[in-house]
Amino acid sequence: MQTKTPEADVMAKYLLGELSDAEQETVEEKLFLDDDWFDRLRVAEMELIDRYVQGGMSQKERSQFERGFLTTPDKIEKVTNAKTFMRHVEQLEPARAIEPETSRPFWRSLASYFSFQSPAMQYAMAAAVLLLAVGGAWLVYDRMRLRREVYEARNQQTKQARESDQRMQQQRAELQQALDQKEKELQQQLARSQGKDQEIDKLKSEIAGLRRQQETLPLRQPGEAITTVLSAGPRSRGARGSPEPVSIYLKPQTKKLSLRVQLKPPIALRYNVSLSQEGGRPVKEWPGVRPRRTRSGQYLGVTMAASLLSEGDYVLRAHEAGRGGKAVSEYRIKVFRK
Amino acid sequence: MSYLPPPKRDWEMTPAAFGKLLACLHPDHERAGEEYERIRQKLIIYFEGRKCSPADEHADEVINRVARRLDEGEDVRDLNRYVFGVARLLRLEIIRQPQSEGESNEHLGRLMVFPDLDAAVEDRMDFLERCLNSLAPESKEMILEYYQGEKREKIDSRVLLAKRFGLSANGLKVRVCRIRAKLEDCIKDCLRRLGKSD
Repeated sequence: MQTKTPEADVMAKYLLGELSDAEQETVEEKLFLDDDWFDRLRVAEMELIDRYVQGGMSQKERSQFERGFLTTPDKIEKVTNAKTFMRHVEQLEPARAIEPETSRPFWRSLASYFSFQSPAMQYAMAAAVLLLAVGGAWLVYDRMRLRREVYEARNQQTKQARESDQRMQQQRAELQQALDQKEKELQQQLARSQGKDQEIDKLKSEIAGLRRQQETLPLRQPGEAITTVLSAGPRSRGARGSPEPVSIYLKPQTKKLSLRVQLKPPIALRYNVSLSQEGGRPVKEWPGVRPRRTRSGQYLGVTMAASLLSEGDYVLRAHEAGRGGKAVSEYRIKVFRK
Repeated sequence: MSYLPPPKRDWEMTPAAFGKLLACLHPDHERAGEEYERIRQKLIIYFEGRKCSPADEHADEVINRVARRLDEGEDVRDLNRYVFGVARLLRLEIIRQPQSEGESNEHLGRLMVFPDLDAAVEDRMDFLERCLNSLAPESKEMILEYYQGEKREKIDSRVLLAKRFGLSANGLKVRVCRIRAKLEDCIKDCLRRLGKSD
């Protein structure tokens, strides 16, 4: 880490968990007994987080930070909030950046530069400068107006895109639920009867119809992100029979995959969610995920880069966080790449 | 990393005990409130530094224990040192707690992967806006101006900002840091309320 003073160095090491136990004890004592030191440590922590969020760290520093600092959900929370704040500031920049231009008195310096001894020249120059000032001011004003319009239009566009994205995700989730339900019915029919071909054909055509509907649902950028709902029920652990895996079809342009795990009461405050290959190799973990609420109930939402998944079988597990790691749900997922 | 709740409480904070704790922190009620927040923040940093999560719950447990001792009549001369001592004892208790099945600290530390923050950030944008608007106008102005500009422009603007508010460069950083902490608390509160009301 880039540090300037020995104190800053100790603080950075403390924050990154790189001190020995004895050194850490000394720092902790200072933390409680010296209020100024405590303030400086908080500033050091804020600046460290800001450097990470604003991309001001080298690759080595980033991995040191992720390994040494981002070790608890509380710290991940701090980084998330910092990132939110920085994004807000970024969005403000275009509107704020133009403010100083309106107050810059450039005509004064221009007039003094062209000051002549002759009064006629002085009047002529003054008139020219006045003309330039009026023209310049109008240009600045016009530029400011245009920038504001662009900024507002961009904000509006972002808002609309976000809303339509949410609507589509909801629609997609509902379709997925309906599809799961029909598939379940089909499995039950198959198990129950060997002779009711008509009913089975009807269910199959319903499923195909739902799939078509789902595929024709437009995305913000076609195929860039997909959401799959994993509902509690026959696929959760402890159900009778062999649980059927949820199939996910990833197109080459799919960048993000969102998984929603439907929860059933009692619902804990946080969950640790993990995805691993069937066979054991861990792919990704989401510690301390908070349940979200919709009209249809509570769910856990996790998002990952689609590039992490190759074709094959995976298992998604959700554990209650902080309660002895009790497993809540387990889902089998089958990934297909188109 | 330890992700365990604090050991079970056999005592709950009472208004009288809380009053005694505040009185011990400062005779002025408002200043006592500020001191209380300060000690809580110190405790959170302490437990985060020792990778004991959830740090805020552990911090509250330490404060509970200190309040209980004060309520029982213990004569505490240096409250900060006393709090530090209680925090160390609680940490030892946490370390001695049996780990749950299949959850070893080392294992979790190795497997923990930094989650994708983009979705969480999107969810918080509206809350942040709301929280910024709930700040005093002076604080909102300070924190937004503090982060304006790039490189040299940013440095110059911070010098002017400190001058305008009559603060040193470090004093400005400390003030900004406190405003950020307030915003974080506010966002946390919004998320908690959303979880309850939806």
